[in-house]
Order: sequence, then C-alpha cells, then structure tokens
Amino acid sequence: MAKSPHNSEKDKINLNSFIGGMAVDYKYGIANSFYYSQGLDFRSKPSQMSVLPGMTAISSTLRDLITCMCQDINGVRYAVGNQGWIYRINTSGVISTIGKLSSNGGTGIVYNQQSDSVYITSQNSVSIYGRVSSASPQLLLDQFGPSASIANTVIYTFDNAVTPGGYDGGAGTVRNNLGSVGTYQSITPSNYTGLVTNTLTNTFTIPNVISEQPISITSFIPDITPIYSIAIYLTAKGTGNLTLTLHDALNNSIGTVTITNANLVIGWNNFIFSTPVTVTPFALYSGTSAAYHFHLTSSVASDTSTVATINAGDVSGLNFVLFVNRLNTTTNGWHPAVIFNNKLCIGNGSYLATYDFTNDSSPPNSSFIRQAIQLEPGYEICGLTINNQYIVIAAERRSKTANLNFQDGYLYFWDGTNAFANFRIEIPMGAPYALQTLNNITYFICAGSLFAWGGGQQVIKVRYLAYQNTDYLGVTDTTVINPNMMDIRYNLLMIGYPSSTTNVNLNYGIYSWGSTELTFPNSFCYSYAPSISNIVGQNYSASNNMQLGMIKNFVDTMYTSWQYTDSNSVTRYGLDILNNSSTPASTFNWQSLIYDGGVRYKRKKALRLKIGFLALPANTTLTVYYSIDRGAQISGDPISNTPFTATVGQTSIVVELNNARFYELQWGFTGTCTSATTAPTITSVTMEIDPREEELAIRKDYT
Amino acid sequence: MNQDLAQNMPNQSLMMQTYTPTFGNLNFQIEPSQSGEVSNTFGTIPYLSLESLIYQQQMQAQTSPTSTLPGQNTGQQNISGQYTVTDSTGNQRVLMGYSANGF
Repeated sequence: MAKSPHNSEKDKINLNSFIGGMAVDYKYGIANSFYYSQGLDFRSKPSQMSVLPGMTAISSTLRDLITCMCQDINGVRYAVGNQGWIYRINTSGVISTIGKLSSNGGTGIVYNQQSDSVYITSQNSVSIYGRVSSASPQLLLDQFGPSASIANTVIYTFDNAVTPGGYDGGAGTVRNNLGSVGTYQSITPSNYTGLVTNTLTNTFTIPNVISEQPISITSFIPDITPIYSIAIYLTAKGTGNLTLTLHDALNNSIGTVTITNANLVIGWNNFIFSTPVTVTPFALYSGTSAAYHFHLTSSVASDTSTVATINAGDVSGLNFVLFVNRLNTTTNGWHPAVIFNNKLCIGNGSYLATYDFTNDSSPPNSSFIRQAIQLEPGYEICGLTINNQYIVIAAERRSKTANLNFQDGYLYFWDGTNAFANFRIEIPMGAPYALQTLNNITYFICAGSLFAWGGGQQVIKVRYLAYQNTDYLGVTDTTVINPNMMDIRYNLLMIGYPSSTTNVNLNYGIYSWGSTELTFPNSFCYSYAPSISNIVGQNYSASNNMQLGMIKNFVDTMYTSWQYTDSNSVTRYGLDILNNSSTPASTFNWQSLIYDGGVRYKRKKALRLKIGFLALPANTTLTVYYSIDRGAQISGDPISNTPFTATVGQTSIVVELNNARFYELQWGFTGTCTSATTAPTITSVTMEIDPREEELAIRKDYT
Repeated sequence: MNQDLAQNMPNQSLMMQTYTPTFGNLNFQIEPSQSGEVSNTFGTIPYLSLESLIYQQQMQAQTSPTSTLPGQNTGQQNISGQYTVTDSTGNQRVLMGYSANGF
C-alpha cells in the first residue's frame, strides 16, 4: 500500500506466504514470489518454507554416466550408462554391474512385464536382459542386430524388358530363397549361411578393375538403412584379395570392404563395412541410373575367383544378402525408447522404429520395423513421450561440431498406425529436449526455457529455467539436455538441468514446477542439488566437466546420475538417491526480490530484518543476510563481525541495520543441516523500513 | 488493506482469462503502479495459469480425436475388409465389401 508523504509510520515488507515461487525478474513476479530458493519446500504449506531432503550418493564408483533407468515387477531397477555399462539395483539398493553393451548406450531402457525382460538400446542394436524374474537371466547382447533385407527390390533382379527404366515389381529373377526364409524369422550374419541357399549354376569371374557396364554391377533398391554388410556367394577362390565397393547412383563410393584371400571361403563371404553406410531407402532405379550398386574386384589381374550368378558372365544377377542394422548411427548418440500401443518404440535417428514383442528370439523385419515413420532428413529423435492417443516425438539437428550447432527441431505426433506422422510442430527456437508429459501436458526444454504443449496450435513458453544466453561470455552455448532429464515426483514436474554445458552461469540441479492444490499457482524453484555440488559446486568449469545423466523417480525414491572430473583429472561417475530415509539438504537458501518501493530514484532506510521460524532444530544453522544496492551480502555485524546466525531452539532472529540507506534492498538467508533429523521451517520474513517520505527531491545517487 | 498482509494478495484469477495467442496477456501490468509513492510491497504481476491457457488453445485445436470422423471427406479412401452400417436396433442396413449380401 502506498504511503502519503505526511505519514511517517515505519513500513514493513512482510512475507508470510511464499506460494509464488521463483520469479524471473529481480524486482517483480506474481504475488508472494521471491528471487531464488534452493532446497526449500514452499508448496506443501505455502505459509511456510521447510527444508527439503537432500540427495546423497549411493555410488561414486560407477563406470559411466547413467542415462536411463527402469524397474521390473519385482522392484529391481536397471540402468544403462552412456558408455554402455548395464547396472542392476537390487531391492536392497545395492548396485551391481550386469555387463556392457557392445557400443555406447542409447539412453533407452524399457521393461516389458509380459516378456519379463528388459530391452536396452545401443548405437546400432537392441540388447535384451531376461527373463529378469528367473534365477539366471541372460544378457543377450545385440539380440536385435543386423538382419537381411527381404525386399523384392533387393532379392530380385531388375528386368528392363518388363518395366523399362524402373523396378519391375519382382518380375525379374529371384537371386535366392531370402523371400521365403526371411518372412517369419531374422536372417542374420550368424544364421544366414545355414538358411540362405545357392541354387544358381552360372558364375561371374571377378575382374581387377571397376566397370560401370550393366553386367559388371549389382544393383538394388534398399528398403531400409543403414547397411551393415553385404554377403556374396563365392563359387571359386583364386589368388587375390577381394574388394566390395558400394556406389550410389552417381557412382560415388560410399563404402569399401576388402577380405584377404586367406579369409575367403567357397560359399558365403560377408563384407562388413567398418562403419554402417547410410542410404536413402527406396532411392529409385532408372534406366539411366543404376541407383545403389556394388562392384567386386580382385587385387590381382586375371583372378579365377568367381561368384554365383543367374546368368553367366553377368553379375547383376549375383546371389547376395544385404544386411542392415536395426538402428541407425546418430550424431546425438541417442535411441530413446518407450512402450506405446503395445509396441516398443525406439528413436532411430530420423525414423521411429517399432517392435511388437512377438519374437524376441528372431523377429522378422515385419516384427521389428526399423522405419515405421520417417522424419525430415537430418533430424534425429531426442525424446519420446505419450500424450493422449499420440506418441510425441522430439527431433533435433545435431552438428558434429559442437560449437557450430543448428538451432531447430520438431515435435512429431503419431497415432501408431498412420503411415507418417499425423501432424507436427516446428520448434525453430532450438532442440526440444527431455520430453515429459504431466497431466496430459507435454513439457520440453528448449534453449534454456521450459515449454509446454497441451493440444493447441502453439507450444507455450512457460518460463526460463536459466539464462542460457551466452552474451558477453565468450563461449558458445553447447548446452545439451539428455532425453530422460524430466520426471514426476509427488505430482510435481522434476527438471534435471542441464546435462552438459560449457556455460559457467548455468546452475546444475533438479528444478521443480507445479502446484500442490487447485487454487495455488504453478511455481518454480531449484529443489535439489546433486551430491557432487559439495565437491565441485553447482556450475560447470573446464576442470570439473560436471554433467548430469538422467533423473528417475519411483514414488518416494528419486535417482540422479552425475559425473565430474576430480583434482587428479580422473572422471568420476555416480548415482544419487533421495528417499524417505534422506535427511534434510545439507545447504538451503532463499533470496527475496529486490525491493525499491517502486521508487528507485530515492533513498529509503532499512531498519530491522526479522526471520521467523519454528524452533531451530539441532544440527542446523540459519544465517540471515541483506544486500544494499546490489552490493555484497552482509551476513554479520559490520563492526563486531558477529554473524547474523540463529542458534538451536530459537524461533526468530532480528537484525538491526545501522543507518542502512538504500535505493534497492534485497535480503534472505542461508542454512546448513549436518546430520539433522528435523528440517528447519521458516514461517515469516519481514523487513522494516523507513520510507523517508520527506525526502522527495530527485537527486543524483549517493555513492 | 492491512499493510502487513500486503504480500498476501489472492491470485487475481480473472486475469487468467485475458490472454490470447494473438494479443498476449491483455492485463499485464506491474502492481503497484509506479506513482512515485513508496510502496511497502514488491512489484507484482498477475498470475497466468498454464492450464487455463491450454484450455483456450484446445478451443482452437488443430487435431480431432481419432475415433471421430468428420462429416465431410474428400479424396480416395481404401478400406480393407467390410464397411457396415447398423441402425439403433442393431440391424444391418448397409454392407459394403466381399460378402453374400454386400455390394
């Protein structure tokens, strides 16, 4: 309430509700908001603030940074790290290592109760651990690894006589029996030699040089990507090493593999590319373009090596098998996974892969569909969640040069049956990270802000999490938020932020958003600090390389994974836990908005600051401070240096400010809990001021 | 208003209804006004409920529930199986598709 000039009564800026949470601005926010809080619960009872439980490390000796976690029917939890280590947390909370994926973890782990198995994504495949309720679960690495394409465009030759200039719809001649043996099972590099037959009696002698003549190339139209290997049937072995060269339609070489003569065998030989080769599915064959094709050459002239072909001296009818990885190699390294419409849905680069759980042993390509829907080229899936009848797919473009990144993404919405995404929303502000749905509102983090989509045309910017803006910092914003950095705890949205960054201004931790009651406003705050904040602080530095991997909440238990580099340059990985045995957070603090009375231009005078609280529990401290004109926080008597600290059992502390003239004033408190069992509870914050109404003239600031 | 309770202003819920995607928050203002008198409160702005905003958005949602077909369709529709229409008593009135009585 404004004061008239003649009224010299002392004013009190009194806060006994804290329901507004953290404001974005220094000076104004919604009613009962403040500038900052850490480790304080002001939602359960908004007339007070009590200290939240703190996170503690249950392991500091993990082998990598956990990026995803799930739980089975028995309460056992499973997690996978960014380097592929698989962890098991038993019902007593003891962590053990199950094994290691053959490549880095893909941020995807899902438990299916029907098969009682855990499905884990890695870079190019899916592994299975199960049955987890059995006495001896098996870790089946790369269970869904490469499998053969059985598309007609691969297993049949092209017959230009039937359809000149294009694919003939299978009217050509079939190379082998892949179409029949591959319909109901996986044809893999492990089993194909016993399943795929060679009945061709003609041969082609492998030349020493590449020729683009039609009879010297083997063309095919891939239906899936990326190519893992190409197996060819050798009918005679000469003296040379054999090289397979894969060309695109413009005869650009996109992959070569050589098998030395000593390793060649009569029969099947699998040419495995050192890195999977990404191709465009259904790239058209035309009469003037061979589309994708490959060549076989020998290291020696006049070699006697021959391969099985339909027509003599014509390698276009070669008997070969095209093996394709189940998952694409991605730049972001992620393959998040969820169950939707009874299918395992996996982010597969710019595709969404689905698996219907019908054959864990040997799923045919119709069961594990690599490309259920396709996104725009170059966009990679960075998050999955479910909203109503849709799976929501977040996609980003990730540069291989971290400091020269793109700035856009998409949200795709798919009903699980349509041939393509039902609709999409462009996100030009940045990559939409850490998708999470709460109350049928899908949230994501983009460029340092929390966004929400609840069914409308627009995504809604909820608020800043942090000023990710790097103006004046001289560093590029490389902030990344991993796919599983948001979860729900006690009906509130938990936001782990960030995962990795080089922005030293960002405050690592778990933030929260939401309200506890219908009439209360949604509010935001910094709720939980990772345990390593006691070691390396809460901000990134080049030396600490701090990162958060994921957060995951199970009712009253929340996990947070982290990594940092210690003073000996050793990278440490660990896992924090927060549960019903956790003690109050080791540190907590609160900071008011900056008060200027709406009249920044004139000086006011601060008289007394009083903080009220319930009897201060044992093993806790609470220290009050104030700051004048954005200066240093003064937390002790300027003359005697006596700290403004309450003692155990007290219910308030009052600070007398000596001639504290100010234009802007801010106040707050910090506290600690050391093995405390009872959380401190703050009930009021009051600052008494003299408005100095008689001082009306506008003058230059006193300095 | 009791000055000691000045910070305990109720949420100005009516403000929630004044946001449109086109015009933004019509009632955005900072309270108290910057009149030159010394206020004993922090500056406040009206609360805007995310849920109410989403409710407004859903009024103009671009998507319709998949279980409901709109009344008008254009283009070709391919149906695998049969297309049947039954009346309120359950009697079949129209059958399209391969069947003894279909067409």
